[in-house]
Amino acid sequence: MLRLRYFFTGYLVVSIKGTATEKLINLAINRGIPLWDLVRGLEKAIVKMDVDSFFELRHLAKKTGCSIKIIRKAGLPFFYSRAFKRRGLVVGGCFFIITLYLLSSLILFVAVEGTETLKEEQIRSLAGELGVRPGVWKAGLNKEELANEMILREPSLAWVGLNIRGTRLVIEIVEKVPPPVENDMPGNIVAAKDGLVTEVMVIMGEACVQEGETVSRGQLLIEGVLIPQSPYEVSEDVGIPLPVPVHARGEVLARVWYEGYGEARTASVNRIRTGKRSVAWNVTLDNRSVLRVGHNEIRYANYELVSIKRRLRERIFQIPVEIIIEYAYEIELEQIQLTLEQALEQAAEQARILAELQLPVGVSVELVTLKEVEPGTEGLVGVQYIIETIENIAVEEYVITGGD
Amino acid sequence: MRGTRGKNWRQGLADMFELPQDIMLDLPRLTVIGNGQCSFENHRGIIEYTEEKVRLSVNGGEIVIEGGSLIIRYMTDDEIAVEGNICRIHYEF
Repeated sequence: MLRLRYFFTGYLVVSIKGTATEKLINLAINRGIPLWDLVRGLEKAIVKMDVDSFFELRHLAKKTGCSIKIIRKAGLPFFYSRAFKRRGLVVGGCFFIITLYLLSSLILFVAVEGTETLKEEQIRSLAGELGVRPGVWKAGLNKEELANEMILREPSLAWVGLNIRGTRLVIEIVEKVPPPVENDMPGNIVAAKDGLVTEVMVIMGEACVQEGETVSRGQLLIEGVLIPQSPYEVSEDVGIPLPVPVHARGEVLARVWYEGYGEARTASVNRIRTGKRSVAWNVTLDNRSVLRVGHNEIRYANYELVSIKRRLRERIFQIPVEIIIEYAYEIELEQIQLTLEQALEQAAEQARILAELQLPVGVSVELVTLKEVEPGTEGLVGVQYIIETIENIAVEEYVITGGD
Repeated sequence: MRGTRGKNWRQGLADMFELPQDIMLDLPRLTVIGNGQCSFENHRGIIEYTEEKVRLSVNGGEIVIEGGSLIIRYMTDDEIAVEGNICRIHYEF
């Protein structure tokens, strides 16, 4: 508390020289002059003292034959007077901090993210109309209101988000996706997948396949033509009316199969970490090893190696120093003998996952068939997992051929 | 003789009423914290002060503090605190 008080009122650092230093100190104490932090050097003692009692101490020093000298004036009052002498520096410092604060509370850059068909300039000028441009106060922005206003003004925007990152305003936009235009161009319907047709339902066009027929991918299912059928007899002079090209529409349901194949061994090895590990640190410079701390050779009979590479301070500048931490985990090998049934089960599980991966979303499974396959290797069993579904395989032709 | 008798009388009084002797007999009271700081109440002034040795006058003799890089943290007319690497404190009565 003493020191804190004198920090506010100001104090002196004084050096005392002379043979009767102790006497001077005792006299000072008796007079009630507060002294603290006495440090004795070889020739002189350095003392901190109150400013007001300096003259009294000097008087005592003359009496005892010591010489005293002020080394430093410290504390807030002296700090202020020094600061007052160097006004320019203080004002400059304040100016710097205020400028930094003001500039960092402005928006200096406006960035636009997420544009697809709209131009960034368009969004920027739209934001400018609403008062969002470089040089605007951050605090004065009502982000939600602005985002709503932008959506109202630009109908092709689905969502607008304003984000302030430092002095950067990021306008994130999502454009509306126009609804797919109904295609009226003449076209055929073809098969999307191989399958066995179970039902043909034509809305427009001419069916080219029948129930029970096997089709392969890309095969024509419904032709986009209409053959006019006259209720009357075809007269000679009119001739056969020409077929009219139309946009074929319809559904073709077919049985589709998805296959998955899995294998499993009746004897397998399970690798379990024992929990023991050893670490080696490798420091490399330009990909050459410079320093290696840790194990030189791994003493485990069976082990797994995991190495982690670390670069130093990659974000600021590149140093060609790399630290590679190598962990060797001891593992125990465990022989597992499976019965044929267990192995088959494992293989079937694997096959099921593979088969179900191919299954499109929203298609219901009609039938599941499991078939055992001989892989030809001893100790190995194979299982084929076949999923049968009934689904609509009709697609417009350009989807398959990939053109308009 | 009178001083001795007076002292004995005071000591007896202090013993009888279980009063602290530092007040009754004007003896120094030391507080030592680790080997880094010690403070002395009831001192009579500094006799010698160097980095290695501080001698304090107390009622009836001297207290000598020896150690290295000793500094006097603060001092008032009845209390003094010494800091540094204190090796030993002994009395010379």
